[in-house]
Amino acid sequence: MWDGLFVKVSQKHYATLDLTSTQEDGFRILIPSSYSSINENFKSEASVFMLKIEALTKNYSRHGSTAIDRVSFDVNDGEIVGFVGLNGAGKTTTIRIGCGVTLPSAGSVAVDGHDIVKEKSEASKYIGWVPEFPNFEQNAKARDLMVYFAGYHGISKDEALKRTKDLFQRVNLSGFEKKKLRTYSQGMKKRFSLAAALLPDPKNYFFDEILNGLDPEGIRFIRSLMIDLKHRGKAVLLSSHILTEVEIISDRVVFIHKGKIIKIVTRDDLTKVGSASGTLKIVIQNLNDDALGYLRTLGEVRIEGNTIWLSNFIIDPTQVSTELIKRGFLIREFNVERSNLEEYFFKLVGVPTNGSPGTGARN
Amino acid sequence: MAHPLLYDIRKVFLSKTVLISMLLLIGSSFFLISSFSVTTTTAQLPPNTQVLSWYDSSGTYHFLIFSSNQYGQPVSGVTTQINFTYSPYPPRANSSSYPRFGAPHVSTNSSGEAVLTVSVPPSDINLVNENYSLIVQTTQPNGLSGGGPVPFPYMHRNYGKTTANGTSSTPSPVDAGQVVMLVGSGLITTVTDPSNSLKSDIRVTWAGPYGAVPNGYSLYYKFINGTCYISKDLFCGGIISTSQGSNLGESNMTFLSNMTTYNQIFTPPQLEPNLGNYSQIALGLFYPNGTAVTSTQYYSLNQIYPTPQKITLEQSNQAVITFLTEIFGAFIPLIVIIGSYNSYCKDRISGVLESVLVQPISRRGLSISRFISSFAGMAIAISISMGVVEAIVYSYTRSIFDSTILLASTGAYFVELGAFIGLMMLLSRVIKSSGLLIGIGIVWLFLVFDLFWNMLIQAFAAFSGNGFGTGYYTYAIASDFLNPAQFVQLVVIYLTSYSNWFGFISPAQYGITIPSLVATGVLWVALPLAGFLYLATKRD
Repeated sequence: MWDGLFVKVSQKHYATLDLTSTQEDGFRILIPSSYSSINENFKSEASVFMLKIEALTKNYSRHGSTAIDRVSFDVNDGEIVGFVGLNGAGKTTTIRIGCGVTLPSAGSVAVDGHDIVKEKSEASKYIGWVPEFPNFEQNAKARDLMVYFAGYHGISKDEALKRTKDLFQRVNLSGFEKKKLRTYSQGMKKRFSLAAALLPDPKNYFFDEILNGLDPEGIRFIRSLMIDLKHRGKAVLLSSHILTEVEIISDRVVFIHKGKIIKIVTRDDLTKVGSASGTLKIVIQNLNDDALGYLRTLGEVRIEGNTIWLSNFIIDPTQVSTELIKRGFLIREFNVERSNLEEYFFKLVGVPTNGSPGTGARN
Repeated sequence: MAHPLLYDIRKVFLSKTVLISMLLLIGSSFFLISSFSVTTTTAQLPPNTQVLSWYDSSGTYHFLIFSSNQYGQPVSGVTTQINFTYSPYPPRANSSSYPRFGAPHVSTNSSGEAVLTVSVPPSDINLVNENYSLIVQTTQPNGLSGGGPVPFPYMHRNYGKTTANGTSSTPSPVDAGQVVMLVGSGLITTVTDPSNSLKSDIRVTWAGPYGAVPNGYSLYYKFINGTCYISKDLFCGGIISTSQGSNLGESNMTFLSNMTTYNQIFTPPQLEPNLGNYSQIALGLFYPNGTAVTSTQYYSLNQIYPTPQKITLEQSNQAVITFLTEIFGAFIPLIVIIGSYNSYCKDRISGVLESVLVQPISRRGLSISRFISSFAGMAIAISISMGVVEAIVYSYTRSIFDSTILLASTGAYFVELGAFIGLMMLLSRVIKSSGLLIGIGIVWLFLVFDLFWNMLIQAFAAFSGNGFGTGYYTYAIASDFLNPAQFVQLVVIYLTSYSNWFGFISPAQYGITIPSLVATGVLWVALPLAGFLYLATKRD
């Protein structure tokens, strides 16, 4: 997994900076350790913060409530940032403001240096948005709507049709170009929305619960797409309830709770945190006190028959299995039953976990 | 580049609701036009009967009868009976003892002709000439009959003699054998062209002395420019011909055709170039010796040629006012309310608009773009509807709306269109429910502002103690300035000095002037639009 930032080192050359944190929770302070690579083909303009969200606040005067309160974080070039929170935490509100479809009460969002409110037309050139529930003109044909959207970007009809064909093939909608959107299923609408977001090839993407409702193949496709975008220097803000995916793909994770940012962690930090808070399910055929004694030195142990639940362990799970095998125990099953991110998330938001597997942040 | 604005305009114009509204407007117009059509040319009219007559020195009266339809085509089976009835003035006590002279019924043949004679004994000829009425009775094949006294005395053989009741007349201009038309609208008339109901042909019905076929009689014509001598605003109250129309004779007219039968149809001559709105065609029938059979007949060009005749207030104010203020007035707001709802409001409330708002366009830009596309799409729909309705009116009446009234009314409707779009879009920024929005749109903008406005104002005036006099007019017209749906009414009043509700009024007296109309129109478009743009830019 790639970690770091693209920075401009000359007129044509960009370098990847490897980063290390300076403190245990120093997720905000990153220093370069080395220039690890130079990529001449990367044409994106150097800008450390492609999406800069500062003190963003949204009050709903009608309800007298605050949806988000002084939310600040940024997404860099070539970075995927996970955006995690419970229902109503403010993820979608933040993204909608970032896309320019909702007005903020205070604060700002800068997209490639352009304020999304004051310079909406310019800022929107660099944004691709896939909403949680895509909503398009139902009676429009998909292809016509793509050409229509392309028109706002100054893309010619021929070029728009060519891109539409390619994109529809890519998102597995080939053959549905001339169908009206009212005939699309929700999953197809989501894929159409993705194609529409990719159409102008913007620099920044807001994916709001893009994985919801997708089958494993769809999830794998989105995952590879985001990695591709990242490698092309795009900035991606990914909001998702599927925390295992966020964990796998994100370079950083922003935690939001009750409208406020409560934590921003990097991938490295998450691994450390997760290794101390994950839950392992281990089924040992010849379970005895020796095995239990060893496991109790690693973390909290709970026993259900031959099944052992190990939580809050402090070493790499693979070391656990290696050590058990080395000590002569026959392991019939060995699984990480809960993602590190999920566990960490619940700790952050203060939601008690019952220790049983499979519990996640479901909405 | 595929411009999004063009896509939006196309979407508005081709939306089902706008198309259905257009069809309703056109269909309603088609249905209503028949109620006040000026002329119905397609229906088969009752036969038209003409009777030529002459007498001879033996005391026999001859009658040549022609029956034809509105195309001048012969109609057979029309029966005619002619009687001489004693009818002295003042009535005499012994009138019942006087004999009656008549002839049996005759029916027209396949050529639409019938011949009939009435013989009067020579001893009674003076009595008949001086004291009898001529009664012509016709019965059509469908059983309908009609008839009555016809102008008989002017053909008396002894017209100049002192009559039995002591009166004295001028010498009779009619000699024995000289033909006169007893029944009919003239020897030169127009009939509908059977192949084109919008134009007319020329019919000449005549006979030579003693009923001879008028061989060698010639029809001449001349186009004459005319001017309107009673002119008020858009209307012409009377036409006067130029000097070209005086002293016409065979020498200064153009030959059209010779006659070969009694009742003959002629195709009108080609129109000459540079003829004005008030030009006429003069038609004259001449004996073979060049003298005129009768005085020259004048027809305005639109009586013969398929030149559109403008519907003016004088000619058909009912049609103009009804169509421009009532029919269009009722449908156009409905089209606008539903069209605006579909083009913007529904998308805005349902969230569909967000897929567009995320594109590189400012909130103000998107709002203006949607306003323009809604306006343009519906303006095209309304223009097409008005064009089709005018074509319907034309096909029925051979008349078109006066272009000034039509253009001004269209402009007024565009003001109404802009105002209603602005109001609907403004409402969509404050109302979050689609049902409520369309409900308010229909109740407030359509029912209150449009359909029942005048009734509401009347009711309000009645409750507030204002009567229905001049004071009420002022009150009602002032209220029209506060309602964009009534703007077209103000414009039509300005142009025609006529109101459907108040009749003829003086526009200036009620503040209807060019400056007040322009200011009202601008404000009605600008204010809702400004409010809409403010909310669209500043509020979610």
